Order: sequence, then structure tokens, then C-alpha cells
Amino acid sequence: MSPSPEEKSYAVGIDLGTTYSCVGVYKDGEVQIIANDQGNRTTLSYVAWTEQERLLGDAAKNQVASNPTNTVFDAKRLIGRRFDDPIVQADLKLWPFKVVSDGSKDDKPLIEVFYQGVEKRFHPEEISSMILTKMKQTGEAYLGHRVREAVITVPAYFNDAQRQATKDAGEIAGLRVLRIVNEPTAAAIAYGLDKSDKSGVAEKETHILVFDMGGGTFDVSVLAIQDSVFEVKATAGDPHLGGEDFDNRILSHCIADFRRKHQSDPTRNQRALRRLRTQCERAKRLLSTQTSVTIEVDSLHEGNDFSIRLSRAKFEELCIDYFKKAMEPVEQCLKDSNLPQKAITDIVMVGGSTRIPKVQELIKAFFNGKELCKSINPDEAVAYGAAVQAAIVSGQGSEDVQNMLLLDVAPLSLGIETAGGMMQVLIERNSTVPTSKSQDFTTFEDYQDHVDISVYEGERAMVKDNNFLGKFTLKDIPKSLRGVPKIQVTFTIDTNGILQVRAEDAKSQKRSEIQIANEKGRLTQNDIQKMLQEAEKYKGEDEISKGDMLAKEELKVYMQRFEKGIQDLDDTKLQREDRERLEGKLADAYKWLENDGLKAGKPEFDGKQKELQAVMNTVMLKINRSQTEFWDQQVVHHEGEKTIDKGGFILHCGVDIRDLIEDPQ
Amino acid sequence: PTDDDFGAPKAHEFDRCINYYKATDPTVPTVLGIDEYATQEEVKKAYKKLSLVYHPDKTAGMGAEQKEEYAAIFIELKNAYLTLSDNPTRRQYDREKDRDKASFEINGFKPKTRAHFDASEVLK
Repeated sequence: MSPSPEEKSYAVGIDLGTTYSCVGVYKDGEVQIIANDQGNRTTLSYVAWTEQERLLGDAAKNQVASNPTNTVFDAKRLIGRRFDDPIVQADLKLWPFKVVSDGSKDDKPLIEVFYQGVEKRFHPEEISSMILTKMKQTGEAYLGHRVREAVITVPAYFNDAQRQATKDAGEIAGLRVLRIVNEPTAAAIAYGLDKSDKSGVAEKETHILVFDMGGGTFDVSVLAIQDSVFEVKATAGDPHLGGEDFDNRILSHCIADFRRKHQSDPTRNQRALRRLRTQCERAKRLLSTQTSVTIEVDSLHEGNDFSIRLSRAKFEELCIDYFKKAMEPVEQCLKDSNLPQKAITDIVMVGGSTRIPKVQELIKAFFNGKELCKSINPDEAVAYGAAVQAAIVSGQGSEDVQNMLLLDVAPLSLGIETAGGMMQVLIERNSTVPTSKSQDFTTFEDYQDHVDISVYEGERAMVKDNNFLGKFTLKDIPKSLRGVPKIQVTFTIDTNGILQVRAEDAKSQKRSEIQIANEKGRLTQNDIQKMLQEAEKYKGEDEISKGDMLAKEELKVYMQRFEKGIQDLDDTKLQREDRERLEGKLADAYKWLENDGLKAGKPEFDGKQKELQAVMNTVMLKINRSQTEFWDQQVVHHEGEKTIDKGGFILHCGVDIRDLIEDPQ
Repeated sequence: PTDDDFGAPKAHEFDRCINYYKATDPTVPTVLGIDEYATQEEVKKAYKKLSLVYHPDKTAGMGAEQKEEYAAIFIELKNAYLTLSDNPTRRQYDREKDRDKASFEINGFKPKTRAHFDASEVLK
């Protein structure tokens, strides 16, 4: 079934990144990474709306400083998440564009922009689809043919909802998504092809570790390669760790410095923040090759110029906890793959953030000084692999590509809820997909005629700690005593990681099934890495980290009230020394929040709030005490009652005003 | 093999009725089509070679029914690989097979053998 020439279409591979996207195609026996209309091989994942038009990619970023609230980026950090997700809530504060909840039960985030004077709202999937459209057009311009099919990559640690949302984005962009491929796996293909070109296909099995740290996500995978069969042994990661987090740290550092130097707060000035952020990002990149860099922004806020010297050591100090955090999945991954450290023959570094010397140093130290593989392009490797996979899946390409095979895994355990809210795992994490597993269950009560089957993903023992995927009911079970009916539950995962669950009563042959991926509006849990670690640590850490976030927010709200409180009190009530004391405390608190506050927990935030409250209380007590001696406070605002005002002064000198004037009432 | 092996946690829950090895009786189907004393290297080789045929990535252009059939075969291959690639699990599988064989010799109860497909043809 070869398509006629005019209908000839290519399948492309698209690396849909948090900050950059890249497209490649397998053509004439080799992979081409396609440059966009600006001549860049990677395209910024930005979409902007101006008064006149919608801009995509590099064009969108070029006008970001003048139009910050209508320039949308980071859609990958929103996709497949709920609005009330703490990660979304934390990110929200750093984004210049507005994100609102759709108000439905699903609590989906919507991005709000002004386009031609009209307010418009978009789902994150729509934003991603616009970027995919741009990549598709880039491909079409190069190939001179329609592009209808694509392989899109996602971080290996993306959960079910995020994968499905990415697939939806592809479909919105008019692409048939052949496969959702994990980014580190795609990078491994690029590595494998590169190696086999140089030294022929390795007969012996080799193990590699792919360390993929991009703009927003972080993955680690261990693969076994033999005879051009790529078998993923284990995967781990953090869906919310990458270059942007480092940018944010530098940005916070700069804002704190600006505040100290100029006593003014640029955080409400979106344009200033954007300009500063661009410079911070530039500084971060330069620090990979230079040991120190100057961040300079003219007339940043209220006419004040900003300039700061940032050394590589300072940058590393600011982000060291992130770097250290990145080593945990490496350890986890090695443990899951049952391989000793020395079995790893090569460490493949992918993603822009792996250029950071400290990251390289840490991973090198972890593997006892082993040299890292840098022969593949960290920005393009994922798209390269995706293009090869597109050729494999669509049956195009030469024989050596047709002989390649990718055996990927499901990143999370899947199971159902059993009595007492326990999680019964059917499919273990790191199982090769496709896979299928059945298990028999029975009823819990006498004469039970139906069972509810709730499906979850995650590593914790109790379902409440895991991510709920969907629920269905098997009805009309023949009535019998508990424990008698035999209900067979079967989980099937296809190659895209889409789960299907089927339940069947052995006696009545009644069946019920759901395809999880089609279940819209299910809850999406977010911090999967946290779930993994927590499974090993102690229970209740969910509450603690959420408590930290809440305590921090509470403190911030209190500080705003505090600030407003100081402004509202005029000089008649608040003495100058008290005002200075309060303002000093507030400035200290802000500074603390910028520095120590980033690593602090709930007790620290609560303590800080108590501290502020104590100072405020003593001052208020003083004010109130003097005010109670005023027989009527409101007369201060009346004209012609100056005596009272003066009376206040006299009162202050120790003379009771009531002795001097009559009661006006 | 040590005694600990037989008590060790299984890497994979296997079905002992499925025959993973080449049997002396040619009518008995075998999944991986390998010799009972095959090395780990051979197990891996057989699995990967068969995967190249039956993995869903390799079934582009086939009918839906055939695709489904191949996917089911691949899952069976994978189960065989999971059982045999882990030494303790493999020993437990071997022992259960042996026990079935012995019980057949003593009381004449023939153990069931089943497999969805036979690999011996493909591997030739």
C-alpha cells in the first residue's frame, strides 16, 4: 500500500520541550534536523498574541519585553495538571501571563490572554498544539510535502494524564500521533546510531545511562543495547526540575539585591521582571563557559539601573540543592535496574542544562570519575531519536532502521483499590510495554451484587497517596456469600502507555471495562518523584510539604497586610521610630523569604509570622492605648476641630484633653 | 543453585503450564524455542530476535486482528523472558516443571501444557 506521489507524506519526530522544541525527519537513510524560518534548528516554545496577530516561536519571544502578559510559555508545565496542583500554584506566581481555573469539577487550568482587545482563554493543550503546528509547518516547508503523522516525545516521568494531554495537543494540531516516546529513550537511539556508525553494531550487550535535564523536566533512564534492540531497564526522574528553576533562583537573587540597593520592589512590574529574567537566563548560559558574568539591566524599575556580578560559584551555591536532588533519580534508576555502577558503559548527557559544569561534575563524581559521553548534540538528540522512531513505526526507512527495536517501559506502578483503601499493584513500574496482567478478586460483603473498581497509579501502599485514574462498576454479580464470586481484573497497557482495565465475573460472564486514557476529567497527581521517595520515607510527608507551601503563602499574605497596615497608619498615630522599626522588620522578612525562605519549612514560616505579629502587636498596643484616651477618634477628620488634634498633642504631653474642652455631643 | 534461590522472591509470577523450552516431544509448543540448558545470553538473544518480529512497532501495515494476535504473542514472550532471565525465578520454574513431570511418571496425571504460539518455526 504505497501512497501515490501527491499524497506522499512523511512522519516526523518532534521534541516538544518546555522551553525549546525541535523537529527531525528520517529521509534518504539519514536523519535531518530541520531549521525553522529563522534558520534556527530549535524553536522556542513560545506563543504570543499582539494587537494584530498571533506569533509563534522565536518571533513571540522577540516581543516579550513589550508584551509580557500576552506571551505564553511553559505550557508543558501546565499540561495534564489541575489548577489547584501546588506546583501550578507555585509556578503561577512566576508567570507574567494569567492562568485561571475553568471552574469545573476537573479544575483545569486555562491561560488568559488579550487578543485584539478581546479576552481569550486557552487550554494548555491548545498552546502546545500551536507549537506543534509551528513544528509541523517547519517540517512541511523543508520536505515540500504534507506532514500528517508524528512521533512526539514526553519526559519519561510524565504520568498518564500528561501523556494523554500531549497526545491531544498533537491531534489538535492536525497530526496523527503515531507514538508517544520517552525523551531519554529517544536520545538513546541517537546515541546508539551514532555508536553503530562508528564502531559497527555491538554484539555484546552494553548498558547506558541517559541523563536528560532540559528546560523544565528531568529524566534518568538505564538502557540495555544489543543488536540494535534498545531495552529500557528502568526510568526515574522529576517532572518539574530544569533550567527554568535555575533561572528563577538567579532571578530571586537579583530581586533581593535590587531591593537592598534601591529599597523598591520590582516584583509587581511584569515588564521589569521579564527583562531581568532574560538577562538571568543569558547569565546562566554564559556561566557554563565563563567563571563570572555581569547581569545588567538599564532602568529596570522606577528609573533605577541594575547591575550585579554573578560568579559561577555563587550560581552553584544558589542551585546546589537542585543539583543534589538530581542525583537521587540516578541512584533510584540504578537500583531499579539491578545493575552495579560499573556495568554502565556510557553516560549520555542530553538537554541544555547538562552543559552546567557542576551538574557534569556531580554525575562524574557519582560514577567515580567516569568520562561522560558528549558526542551527541544535547539539544537535538531527542528529536533525532524521535525521527528514527517515526520511521520505524510508520514502516518507512531503510533496512538498518527497520531492524531497530525499542522496548520501552511504563514509569509507574498501576493497581486497584482493595479493602481498607490499600493499593493492589497489578502492573509493576518499569514493566516493558505492551503488557497485560490479570488477577482474581472477590466480594467483601455477603450478597454484594456489584463491585466498584477504582484504578490508581503510584508507588505508595495506600491509594489515597497515589494518583486516581478512573473508576467503573461491575454490576449484576449473582448474589452469594462474600468471598465466593470470582472477579477477574485485567490491566492492559499498549505501546503508547495507554491503560485499559477490564473486569469480568467468572460465573455470569458479565463484563465491564474502561480505557483510562479516554476518561476525561480525572484527577491528575503531579509530583511523582515525590511519591516515589515518600513511599520509601515515611507517611504523611505529603501533608508536610503541602503544609510548607501553605505556611509560606500565609506568611506572604500576612506580610502584605502588614505592609498595608503601616501605610494606613498616619504619622499622628504611628511615631517615626515605630514606623522605622516596623519597616525594618518587614524588609528583613522579605530578605529572609528570598534567601533562607526558599529552603524553609512550615515551622520557620510560622515562626517568622509570629515574630512579625509580635512586633505589630506591641506597636498596635501602644497606638490603641493612646487612642483609648481620646474620647472620640473620628473628630480628627472633622474640620474646625483642630483643638482635638492639638489635644492629641497635649495628651501626648500628659495633659488630659477632656479637662480642656467640652464634649461636642 | 542454592536453597535460598527457591525461597527468593520471584521476579515474575509465571504460569508453569506454559512451556518455555524446546521439548523432546515435538508436538508440545514452546514459547522461546530455546534449549533447557540455554545460557542467559541465549535467552536474551532469543527474546530479542522474536521481539523484532512480534513487537507492535513491527506490525505496521498489518490488519487489526493480526496486530492484536502479535501483541498477545509479544506479551507471552516478555513473560517468558522475565521468568528465565532471573536465575532464582528460572530455578523455581524448572523445579515446578520437574515436579509435574515426576508426578506424571508416578500417578499418570499429565500436566497441562499450553502456549499461544510456537517459536520453533520463527527461530529456524
